Amino acid sequence: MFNRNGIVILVLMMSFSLTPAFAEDWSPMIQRQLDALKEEPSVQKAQAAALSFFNISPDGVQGMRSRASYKGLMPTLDARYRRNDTNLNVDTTNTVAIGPDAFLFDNVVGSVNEVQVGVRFNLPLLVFNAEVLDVGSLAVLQEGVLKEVTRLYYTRRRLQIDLILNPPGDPATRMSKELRIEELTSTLDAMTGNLFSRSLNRRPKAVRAIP
Amino acid sequence: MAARAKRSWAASCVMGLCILMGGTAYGQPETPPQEALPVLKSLDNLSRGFRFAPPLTAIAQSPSNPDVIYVGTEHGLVYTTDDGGLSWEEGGALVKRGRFYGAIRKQGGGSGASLPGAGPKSTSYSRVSGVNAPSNQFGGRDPGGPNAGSIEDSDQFSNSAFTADSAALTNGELTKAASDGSAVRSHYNAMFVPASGGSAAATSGGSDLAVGIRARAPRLAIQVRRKKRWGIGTSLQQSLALKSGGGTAIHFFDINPQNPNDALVATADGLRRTTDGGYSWPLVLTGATKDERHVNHIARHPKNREVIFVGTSLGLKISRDGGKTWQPALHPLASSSDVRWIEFDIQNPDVIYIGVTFGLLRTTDGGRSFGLIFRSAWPPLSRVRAVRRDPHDPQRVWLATADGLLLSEDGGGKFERVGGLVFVGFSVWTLTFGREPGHLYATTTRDIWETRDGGKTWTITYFGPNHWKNMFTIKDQSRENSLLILTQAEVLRYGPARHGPVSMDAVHRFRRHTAGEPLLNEVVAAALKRSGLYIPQLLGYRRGARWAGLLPTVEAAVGYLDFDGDYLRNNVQSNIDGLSVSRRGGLETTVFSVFANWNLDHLIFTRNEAPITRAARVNLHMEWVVKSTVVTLYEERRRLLLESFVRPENGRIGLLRALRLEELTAHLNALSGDLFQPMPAL
Repeated sequence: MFNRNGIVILVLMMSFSLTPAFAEDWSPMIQRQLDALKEEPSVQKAQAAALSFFNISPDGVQGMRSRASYKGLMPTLDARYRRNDTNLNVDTTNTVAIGPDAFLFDNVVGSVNEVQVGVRFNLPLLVFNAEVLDVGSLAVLQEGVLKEVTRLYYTRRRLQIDLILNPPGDPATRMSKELRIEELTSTLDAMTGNLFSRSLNRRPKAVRAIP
Repeated sequence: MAARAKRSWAASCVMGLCILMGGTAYGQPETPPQEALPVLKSLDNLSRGFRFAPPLTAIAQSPSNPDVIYVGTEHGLVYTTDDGGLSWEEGGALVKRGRFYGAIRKQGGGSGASLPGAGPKSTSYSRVSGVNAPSNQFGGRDPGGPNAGSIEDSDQFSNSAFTADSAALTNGELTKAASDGSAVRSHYNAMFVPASGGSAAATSGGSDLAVGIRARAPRLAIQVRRKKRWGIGTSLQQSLALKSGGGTAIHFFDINPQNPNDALVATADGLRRTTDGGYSWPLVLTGATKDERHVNHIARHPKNREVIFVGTSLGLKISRDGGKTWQPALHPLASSSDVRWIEFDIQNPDVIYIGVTFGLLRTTDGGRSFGLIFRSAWPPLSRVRAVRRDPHDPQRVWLATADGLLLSEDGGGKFERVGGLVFVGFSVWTLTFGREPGHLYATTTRDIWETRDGGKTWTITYFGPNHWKNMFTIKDQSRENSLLILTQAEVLRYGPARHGPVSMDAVHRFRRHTAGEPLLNEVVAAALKRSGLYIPQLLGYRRGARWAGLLPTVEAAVGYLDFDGDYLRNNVQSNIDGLSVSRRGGLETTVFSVFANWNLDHLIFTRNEAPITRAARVNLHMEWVVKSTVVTLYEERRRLLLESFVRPENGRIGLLRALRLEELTAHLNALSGDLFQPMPAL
C-alpha cells in the first residue's frame, strides 16, 4: 500500500508526534522570560557561525577535500622570457705590411628574444593525493569547536533558565550569575563573530532587560 | 512466573548499564564465594565525558545535602551540581596564569560591574572574577599594610576586577611587596581599593594611577631587572606572576558538614574556599614557595570543625579558627614533608595519621609531635596515597601506597601487605568503607576492588575503562552501598540497581519513539562520512594509490626564439675598398616539446596504499575521537530519553532535562548532519 518513502515519512511523523514535548504551566511572568530566550540565536546558528568563523564549516571542508582530489587536473605553469643583447667589435691590425694602426673594423650587433611556456600535469594526483587525507585533520578541529560552542551555549542557557526559575535571594549570588552569563556571552561572541551581541542589539530594550 | 520475574529484572536494568558481578575472588585463603547469588549493579553516568573538560581530579559530596556534588579538574575548573548530577555548573577555582602586559589603570575607575577580560587579568579564580573575600589570613604573615582592612570590610562587586588581579599575588609575595616601601604599598592600594573609595585610598600617597614597577618602585625595579634581565620584569605583577606560576590542579575538596555551600578546595596553588556554592573561590592559604602553596589534602577535626589540617607539599598547616589563620606544624617531620593524606582517629582525635611520600607519620598529641611509624626500604611502598582508619575497628589502619595496600591490626604498630599479589605493583588511590564491618573498596588506576571480610579476599567490583583512569572514589551518601567513581572524564554512580520495575508501557512508548530514529551505527557512519574519516572510504582511496602509477607526469613546453643582428666591416685602407661590407639578418625558432614520465614501479607497491604514513595515523586517531564522541552523545541521549519516558519530571528538573536532550540532539545533528528531529526544550 505504501511505498518505502511513504513508510519513512510516516515513521518520521510518528516520531515527531511522539517527541516528549516538555509542557509546564509557568506563571505568566516566567513564561514571558522563557519566551524571551527564544529570541536569542539558536544553537544551530551558533554552531554554524562558529564553524564559519574558524573556516571549518562542513561544506567548506568538503570543498577543500574535493578540490584536493581534482588538483591534478590543473598544471603547474612555467613561463620564461629571455633577451640577450650582443655587441662584438673586432679591430684588425697588420703591423708588417701597413703599420701599427688598425685598418679593419668589424662590428656585430644582435639581440635574441626567447619566450618559453611550459606546463606540468601531475596526473597521478587524480588517483591519489595525500592532501585529501590531510584535510581530514580538520575533523578534530570541527569536533572541538562544535563541542565547545554547544557546551558554552547550553551552560549559558542553563544559567539563564536557573536565574528565571530559581532566582537567588541575595544580590551577590544574583550578580555572580549574571556576570557569569556575560562572561559566557562574550566567549560565545568571540567564537561566533559577535553573533550574540548583534542579536542583542537588534532586540527591543524590553527584551534585552531580561538576563 | 519466571517470565514475569525476568521482565521485572530487565526493567530494573534499563535505567543504567547493568553489570552482573559473579565474584572471582583473589586473596589469601581459599574461601567460599562471598555471595551465592550474583549481585546486580547499575552504573549511572552523571557526566558522559564531554560535559566536563577532563582530566577530572577530585570529587566530593556534601554530607548535609547529597545532591550537592563538587568536581574539580586538572585545569582548575570546578563543576557543581545541586540536583544529584542532572545539571552541572562550571566555575573556576583558578585558571592558568597568563602574561600580564597592561600596567596602567585609573584608581577607582572600575566602578560598576567589572567584566572579565577588561583590564589586565593575570588570573581569575572565580566564576565572576570577584565577589570574594581577601586572602590575608595567613597566620603570622599579615602584612599589616593598608590594604588589609579595606578589602575585608568591603563586599563591593565593583571591586571585582581589582580583587581578581590581587589573586595573582600570593600572600607571602604580598607581604614581601608591601614591605618594600611606600611606593609599592601605594601600588597595591590602588589595586585593592574598592571603587567606592575606602581607607586604602587615603593612604595611597595620592597616586592616581596604579602603574608598573618601573615608575612606582624604582628600587625594586632595579633589583628585579638585575635578576630577570631587562626583557622581563617591567611590571611587578608580571614578575611576581611569572615567579609564582603554580599549577592549576585541584586535589581535594572538603565540604562543611552543615553547609553544602561552604567548601574548601586544595589546589596546586593554595587553599581556596567558597561560601556561595562555588561561585567564588577566594584564597585562604598560600605559601612562600611553590611547594608550600601546593596543597594536597584537607581534614577537619571530627569533633571541633573549626580545627582544620591541611597537607601541602612542604609541610602541614593547621588552622584552629575555621581557616582564618594558619600556623605551620613545627615538628621537623611534619613541617618539611610532602603530605598526601591526613586521617583523624575519630574516637581520639588527638591521634592523627599523616601520609607522606616517605612513609606514615603519627601524632598522639594533636599535632605537636610526630613520629615516623612506617617506612619501607622499597620507595614506592613508602609513597602513601591514602590512610584510612577502619571506622568499625579502631586498631585497623589501612595504608594505600604507590605499590599496593597495607594493613595494620595494631593501630599503626606494624603494617603488612593485604590482598596477596593483587595490589603489588599497582597504585592504590583511595579507600572507601562500606556500611558493614570488613567491607572496603580499594580504587586502583584501572579497577575497583572490594572486600567484605576485612581484606582476606578481594573481588573486582568494577572494571575501569581502558582509556580513562580511576581518579577518586567516595561513598555515595544518597544511596546505600553505592559509590561515586571519578574517572579522568566521568562521574559514575555505581551500586546496587535501585530502580524499581518501570512501566512497560513507558518502555514501549520509548521504543516506538526511537524506532524512527537512526541507529547508532548509522549515526557514527554519517558523522565519519561527514568528517571525511569513514574508514572504508579512506581505505578504498588508499587502495587506488597503486593505480596512480598508470598515469604519467606530463610536461609540455613551447619555446619561441627570435634573433636579429647586424654585421658591419669598415676598411680604412682606401686601396682595399672591397673589404667594407654591411650585413643584416635574423632567425626565428619555435620549439614544442612534451615529456611523459610514468612511475610504473608504483603499480607494484607504493607506501601511499598502506596506512603507515603520518596522515594515516592522524586519520585513525581522529576517527576514534569522532566515533567515541558520537557514541557518548548517542548513549547519553538515549538514556535521558528513556528517563523522560519512564520517569517524567516537571518543573525545573524537567526543563533542565529537556534542555539537556536538546543539547545532545543539537550536538549529534551538527556532527551527523541533522539525522535527528530537533527537540526544543522551550
